[in-house]
Amino acid sequence: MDKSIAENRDVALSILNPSERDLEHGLALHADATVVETYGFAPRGSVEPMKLQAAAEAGAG
Amino acid sequence: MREEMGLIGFLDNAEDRQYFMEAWNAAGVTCVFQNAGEEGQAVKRLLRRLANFTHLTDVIADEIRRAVHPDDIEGAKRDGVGCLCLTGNGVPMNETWITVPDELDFVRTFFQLGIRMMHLTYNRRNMLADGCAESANAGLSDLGRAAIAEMNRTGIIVDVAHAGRQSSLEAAQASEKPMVASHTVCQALHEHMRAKPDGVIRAIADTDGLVGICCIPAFIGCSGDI
Repeated sequence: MDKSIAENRDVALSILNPSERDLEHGLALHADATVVETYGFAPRGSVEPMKLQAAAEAGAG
Repeated sequence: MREEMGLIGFLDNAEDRQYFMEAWNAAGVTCVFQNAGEEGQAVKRLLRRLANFTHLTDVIADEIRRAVHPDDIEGAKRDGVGCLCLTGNGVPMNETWITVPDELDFVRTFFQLGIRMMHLTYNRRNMLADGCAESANAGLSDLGRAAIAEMNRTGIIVDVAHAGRQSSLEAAQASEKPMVASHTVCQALHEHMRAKPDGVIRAIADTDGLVGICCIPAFIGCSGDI
């Protein structure tokens, strides 16, 4: 698991402090469910200055 | 180029793409109603933004598909992949203001391109309705009612997340199909311009619709510091 995702997971667990049994049960419920986010954003990419500069030098408007 | 890089640049970056999939899998989400539009009605701008996301789901279809029907969401769940259902923000309009049918002609086109939900307004007033930031709180225009009828007819969900309170109430009363406030909060719990009062929430529920609660800290009166 990505380090930042794992760190955020640990913070959440430290706040919620579930028992092992409750955690396993909750995660199983979530994994079995069809989960729909009613409005969201796919991850954004970073704007890369070097690529923009190269495009500008190549004549991009 | 800058916009495309910002929206879907991660497709060209293996590390970002891996992080995206790890985050998606950690969240355990099957489908996201994805913002694939922007704040306005201009067809050209809306098309350009939409194209980024049809491209995205074409490129990573083995991991994230585009959903256009409820069966697609259930199928994605069965197959262990994710899906995006595209929402276009603004209702596309010709903006020539000659006839109502001419103004709403592109609603069906955007349905055919895969859009399944649209905002009536985005915070401010437009030709359809007042947004949530308008102090006049004036509700729907006649063109707004016609737009809702056309969205109902074509199969696009009416979203009042950014609409004003009177606009939201009147939209729920006008819509003959289930409609939504996709990302809002409850005014009874915390006053915020994006919050909906109980009467609006009930009216949306009466359409068999849905109110999605948004956890942006300012919307719910919290700092976000946990």
